[in-house]
Amino acid sequence: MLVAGGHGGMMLKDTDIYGLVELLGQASGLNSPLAAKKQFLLDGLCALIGAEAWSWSRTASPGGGHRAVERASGGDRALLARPAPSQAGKRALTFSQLSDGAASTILFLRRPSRPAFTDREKLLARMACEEIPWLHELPRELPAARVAPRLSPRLRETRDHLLAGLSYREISRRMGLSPNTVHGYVKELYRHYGQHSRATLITRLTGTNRTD
Amino acid sequence: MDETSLLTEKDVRAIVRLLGETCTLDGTLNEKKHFLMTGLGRMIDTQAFGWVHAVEMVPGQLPVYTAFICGGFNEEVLPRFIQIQSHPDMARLSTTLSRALQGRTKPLTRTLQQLMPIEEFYTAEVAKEWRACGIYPRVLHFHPLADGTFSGIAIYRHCHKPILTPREAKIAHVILSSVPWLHEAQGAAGERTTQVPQLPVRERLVLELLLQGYSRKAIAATMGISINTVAGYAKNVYRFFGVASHGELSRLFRLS
Repeated sequence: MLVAGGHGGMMLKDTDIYGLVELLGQASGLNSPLAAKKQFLLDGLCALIGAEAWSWSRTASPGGGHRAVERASGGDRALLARPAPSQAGKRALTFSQLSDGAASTILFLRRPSRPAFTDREKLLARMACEEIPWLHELPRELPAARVAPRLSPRLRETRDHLLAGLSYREISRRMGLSPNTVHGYVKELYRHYGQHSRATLITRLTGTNRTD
Repeated sequence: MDETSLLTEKDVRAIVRLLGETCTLDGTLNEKKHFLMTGLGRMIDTQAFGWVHAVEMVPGQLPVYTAFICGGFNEEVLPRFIQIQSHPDMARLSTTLSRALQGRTKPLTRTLQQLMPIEEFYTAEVAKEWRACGIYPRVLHFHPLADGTFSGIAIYRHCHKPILTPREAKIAHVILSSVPWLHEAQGAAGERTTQVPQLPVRERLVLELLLQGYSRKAIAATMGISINTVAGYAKNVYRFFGVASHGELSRLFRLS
């Protein structure tokens, strides 16, 4: 059975889906900076769609003149020195999007002697380039651990009461603890989440990705 | 299940997005598991998950699970959930699964309804326990490890919601079978966990609850026994692993 694509008639087979998801599964397990994961993913995408080279470039302003190849890789870099992608026709795939006020473009190239990219190959590359925003972003330091290490059950309970808007007194009553103990727990929570006030703690917790 | 795809382009895009986000995390293995499993739960409308190192899967016998990593359970439900795993019914209910896993080298995903007639599940004693937790197990994924044990993942959905559709189970299968680190055991590597089956069932339960950070008082309340009895079990556990403190025990299982 085939998956109908969003552009009339494009199809993905199960093996394509597994190929792409396994590539991402491996990339997410790499213990390396995001830039290295990007390289790994784009190399892997090349292999998956049968491209020989890729490049990633950003223009300073959308539509602006300056174009710098930030990174390039793949088995055949010489391909990238050939005429512009528009002239390479069906052996080039480009995916552009705005990122941090610049236009980012990822380009996949195939040797002119080989057949054109098929619709399913195009779809695989498009899905990756459209759904993984950091492929287009400049390398930067990741924000400090986005998921917090595991808290003890009592601390988790205290945190949940805080989020529910309870006062120290109410929390101590519900948990059967003295207000001093609760105060100590809250202090630990501040330290754990690197916050110094109840307000910033709550903002931090309700912000994003609270998985613990 | 492996040959035909039930997924839409939208499904695949959501999977790609979730794994792309997972790439940007720099937390520990367990934190990444939490993130990925919670994201999967959002995609297929499931509310909780449990990961275990399944040390022993013998048809007709109680499976031996250790090193629980759970998400989506509140503090009240979590100890009950862990206790359910040693309910006598679980030996019978996991027989089909244990049998399917004998000698298997590829990952296996099964919905609850594939493992047993759904009525048989609903009428089992243990189903009452699940109802008290508000959830039913809906899909199980078992990943054979090199040493003959398994990485096991169970995904739970609220009791009042319907069973998982084949498409939802497929989304779970695609993700769970394609992410190798999901099955690596930060807290369960080596001989420590393979010793776990030698512990009596009650001690095993106390071990898991201790590893989750519960006090002896809380464990006593969950198991409906006195604190002294729990302390006795805990002592046996400490002696069995040759440790003198909770910290040492946690480090053995590398959960902290």
